[in-house]
Amino acid sequence: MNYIVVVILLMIGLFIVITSRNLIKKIIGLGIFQAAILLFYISLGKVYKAVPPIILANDPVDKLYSSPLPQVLMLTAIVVGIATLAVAMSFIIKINENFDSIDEEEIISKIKEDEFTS
Amino acid sequence: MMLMNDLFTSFSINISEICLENFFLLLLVFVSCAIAVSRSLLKIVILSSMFSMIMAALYLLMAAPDVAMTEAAIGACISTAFIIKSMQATNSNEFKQKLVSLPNIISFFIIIIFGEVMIYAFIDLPEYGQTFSPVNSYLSQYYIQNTPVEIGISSSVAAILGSYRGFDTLGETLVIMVAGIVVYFLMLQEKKELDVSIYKQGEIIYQSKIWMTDYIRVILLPISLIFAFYIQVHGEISPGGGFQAGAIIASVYIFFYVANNDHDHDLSNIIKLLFKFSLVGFLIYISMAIFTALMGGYFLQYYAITGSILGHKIGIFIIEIGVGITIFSVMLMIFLLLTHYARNFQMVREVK
Repeated sequence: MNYIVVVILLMIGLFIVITSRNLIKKIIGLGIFQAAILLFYISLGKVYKAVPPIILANDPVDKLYSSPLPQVLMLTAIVVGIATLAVAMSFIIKINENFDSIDEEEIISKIKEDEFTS
Repeated sequence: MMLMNDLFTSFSINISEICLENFFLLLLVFVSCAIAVSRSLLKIVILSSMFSMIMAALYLLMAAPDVAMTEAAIGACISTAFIIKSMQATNSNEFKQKLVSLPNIISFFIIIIFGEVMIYAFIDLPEYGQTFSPVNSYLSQYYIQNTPVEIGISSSVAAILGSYRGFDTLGETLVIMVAGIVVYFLMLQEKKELDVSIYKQGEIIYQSKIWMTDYIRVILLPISLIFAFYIQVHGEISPGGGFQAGAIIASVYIFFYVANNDHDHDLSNIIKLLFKFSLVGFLIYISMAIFTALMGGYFLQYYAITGSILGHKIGIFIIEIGVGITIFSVMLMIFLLLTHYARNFQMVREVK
């Protein structure tokens, strides 16, 4: 079930990135694509009846922990994700400043007009 | 009989776990479908915030509280605030989008093929939740068994983040700092000389928002700050650490600035201060690394600080503080930059 949902989310994210003309929606689609990958890694590290990987001194030997390594990698991936989102947003704002639009096709038609006039 | 009983309890625990997870997973699919068909940016932003909250609940169910905390603070709060501010700065909400058109249908079929390929690749994966799947066997077991012995702290996640893969986290902090610098130089502009009287029309709305600001300042701010400092300081023995604490403090202050949207308040001084702060956080991290090298160890080998296991504890504590400062200041700085820009943008629009 987890892996199927991961595939569906990857597909929806990619669909939004390809089809939407609005740049901000495109970035959100990219966020969904990224979230699917995060979900995939965390599901790999899941163990049934496991506890978070915090090892106490008097724990029984056979206690199950979920895998810490994918968690650390995904923790850093989330933070990098927000950094890329912020940079993308500032680029979109700068695009809007020049072309007065964040719609892809309007921007392309404006670029073509500029080429004709110059 | 005993065996039967045992089997039954384990079975029922598995069933309830799976049911809850599947419920959230279905919700996730519905929300992302709603994002795909929606044509209003405000709706999309709120739905994506909801998406992040569901993701956080799922991470918690999968026994990953650190990731859940980060996702809740960063995905649900900070990224929503960023997107809303950039919507204001580009003055866009509703947009036209045809769902059924020839390019969309073609891309739909391409994506179906992509999904089939992915499912074909996913068939070979080990079964979900097994104790001895490859991911849980070799390196993970090493980390779990050796964290108390080699590092001397209980949280395995903090041990990997700070010590085993400390170099990784160093690059991570650098990435955050660079993103902050990029946004700073792209968005910073001095306050334009414009007619200030336009501001004053928002005064009535501002009056009604005062109770909200007071509520945040008196109740929400102190409690959240205590929580965040607890997470920061107890990173080694409980879920949490620098990333989470920084993100929580930043999100509280973002909430504060959203509620207290006072236009006369000049933000550029705070932005410049936060910019310096973000550099300080990274400097703490890198000076810790250089300090260990000077003490006779390798780069980022905390063992060299005191020559015993205690060195790891001190080293991880200090670098977590550096990470926390960087995350907090970069996130808040980007938000304030976007706010500043959006205000100027709206003002220029109104004058035109």
